[in-house]
Amino acid sequence: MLEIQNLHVRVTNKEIIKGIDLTINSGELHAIMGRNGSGKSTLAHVIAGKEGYEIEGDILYKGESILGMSPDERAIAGIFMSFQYPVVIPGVNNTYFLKAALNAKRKAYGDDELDAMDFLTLIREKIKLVGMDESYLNRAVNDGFSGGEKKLNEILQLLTLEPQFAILDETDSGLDIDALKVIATGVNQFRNEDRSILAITHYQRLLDYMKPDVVHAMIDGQIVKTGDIDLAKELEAKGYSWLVK
Amino acid sequence: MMDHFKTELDSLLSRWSDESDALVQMRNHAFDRFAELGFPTKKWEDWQFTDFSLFKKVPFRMTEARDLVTIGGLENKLLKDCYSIIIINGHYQPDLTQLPEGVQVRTLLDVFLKNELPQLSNGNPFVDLNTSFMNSGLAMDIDDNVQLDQPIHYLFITTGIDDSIMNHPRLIINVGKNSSAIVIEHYLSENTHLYWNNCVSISNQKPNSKLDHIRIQEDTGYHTDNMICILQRDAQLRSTLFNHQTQLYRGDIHVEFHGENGHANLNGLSLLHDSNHMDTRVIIDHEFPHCNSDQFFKYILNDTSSGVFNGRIIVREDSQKTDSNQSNKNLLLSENATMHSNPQLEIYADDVRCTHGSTTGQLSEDVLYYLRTRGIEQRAAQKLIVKGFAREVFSNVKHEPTADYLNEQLNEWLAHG
Repeated sequence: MLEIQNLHVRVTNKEIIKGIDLTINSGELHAIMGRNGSGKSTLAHVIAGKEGYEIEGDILYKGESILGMSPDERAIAGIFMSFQYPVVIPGVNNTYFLKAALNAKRKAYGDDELDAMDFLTLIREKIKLVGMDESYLNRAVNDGFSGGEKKLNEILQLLTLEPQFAILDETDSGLDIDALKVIATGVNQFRNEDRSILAITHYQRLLDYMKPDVVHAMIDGQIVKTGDIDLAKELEAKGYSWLVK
Repeated sequence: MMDHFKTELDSLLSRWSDESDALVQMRNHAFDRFAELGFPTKKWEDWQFTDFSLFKKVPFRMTEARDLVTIGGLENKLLKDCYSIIIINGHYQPDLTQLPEGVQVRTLLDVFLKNELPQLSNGNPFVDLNTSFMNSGLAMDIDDNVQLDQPIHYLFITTGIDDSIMNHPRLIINVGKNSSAIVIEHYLSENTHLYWNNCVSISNQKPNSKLDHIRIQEDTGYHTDNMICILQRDAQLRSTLFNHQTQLYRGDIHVEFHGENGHANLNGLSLLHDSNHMDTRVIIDHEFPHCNSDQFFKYILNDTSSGVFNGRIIVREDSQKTDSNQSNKNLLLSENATMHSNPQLEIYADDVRCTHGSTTGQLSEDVLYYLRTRGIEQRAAQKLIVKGFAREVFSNVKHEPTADYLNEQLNEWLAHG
């Protein structure tokens, strides 16, 4: 599904990612764990298509390079990122936003755009899955939402847009255990053998609720160790220092 | 230049030779004040960012009876589910007026004869000019204890004239005790030739009245206006100002509380493109205790347009428990657009709560990126953000056909940009 080949990323002449190779197959959930500043979020944004990076190496999605594609083209192709800090969009109604996003995708694939009524039926189904109150649909995107509500809203978008490759950037940060369970339930609903996930996190606890197939430890722009869920537990218990050469 | 206006005034006085001596005297006195003040210059504080010399460059003439034209498809220009008052090129059309019970319209001559026309002079030359040239003046009287079921749509159309005309309309809105009404003051144009409307509108709210005043200003030429809002005890004013398409706009809004417990809520949206210039000054004068005021003004500027916002809150000594907020937010869609924003507070009472804030910025790259990661392409994402920014101002417009109309105009403006 996704293949990262010898990726180097610089921002204003500072090298943030220093040679990463990573292959994520269909149906797999990979977790990348690492401390602040290890380059995890940069990796997420580079895959999503954020501008302002100097990139060497390549990222293939379904066998083709996506580096020349804009963020919206990547989204249409099936890549989604749940933001660590979802932005507030004043005055833009959440339903309107979600409908615009879904219809942009449907249009690109030659499907009929959903009208307001059909979309409402769909979104009411989806919002139940994340346990959000329907009143959130009529509010401006993330405006006045708590940290947890913003993250839930990201998962609502994930479930509505149904991408094939989802990046979850610190989706667990700032959540209490109950909110974490709801998020994990939402993500687990999304998982199937045709979809892949890259979950970026500081902590192991999210991984307790959505079992990763592969766990990577990232330090200073490199993946220094790859393993299974036991690696996550080890990192949680011992920290990262033992991995530094 | 003054000679030109003097000639125009003399010609108006000779055409309307049946006006009373007192009225003629009022016009002449106002003209003298205007002649003394002249048009504002760069040296005038609160006026410095607008080039008023443009008014001297065009020999605007007063409209006359021959300028009354018939308009095809007038019904399409009226907002749905409204009572209507129509003025065409400065000429009031009583035959086309529809009003509910409890509302009367009088021409200003009637008002003047009853000695009800207030002497207005506040150092603003456009007010003096309006007083001296006042034409197409109307007073709308809403009786006490009347709750209007539909808005009144006052439509002022400028159309089909191929030289430069000017009008100096004065609109007086008297809202009776315990009454409530929505009044839409609407300026519309089909003219391709440069013209100028210099308006004064005065709303006078009796105790415990509610006025929802929506001013849709879509003149394409020059538009200057003075809006004077007087709120007696327990009166509530909600004002929504929408400006777009205007080459040169200057609006002065003056809110005065004449009793306790008044509430004034002002919302404004100005959309600018090409080399449009729009300049708004708001003065809210708190003279009585326990009054609240909120100002929420937004500008969206494209191309080489420029905007000015001056907002002043004055809280006088005895105005304890005043609660007053002012916000001015501006969005620049072009690197060549400019905005001057100057919020001011003058507070002479100690037990009050006042806030003010102003921001001017470009479209947020973070928000754009976020929308694009959801599959919305750059251009559509920009429109979505701008629409969201603008629509906040309309959220108070509860009359659906009016809200729909405003949204249509916004969409059209966005399509143009």
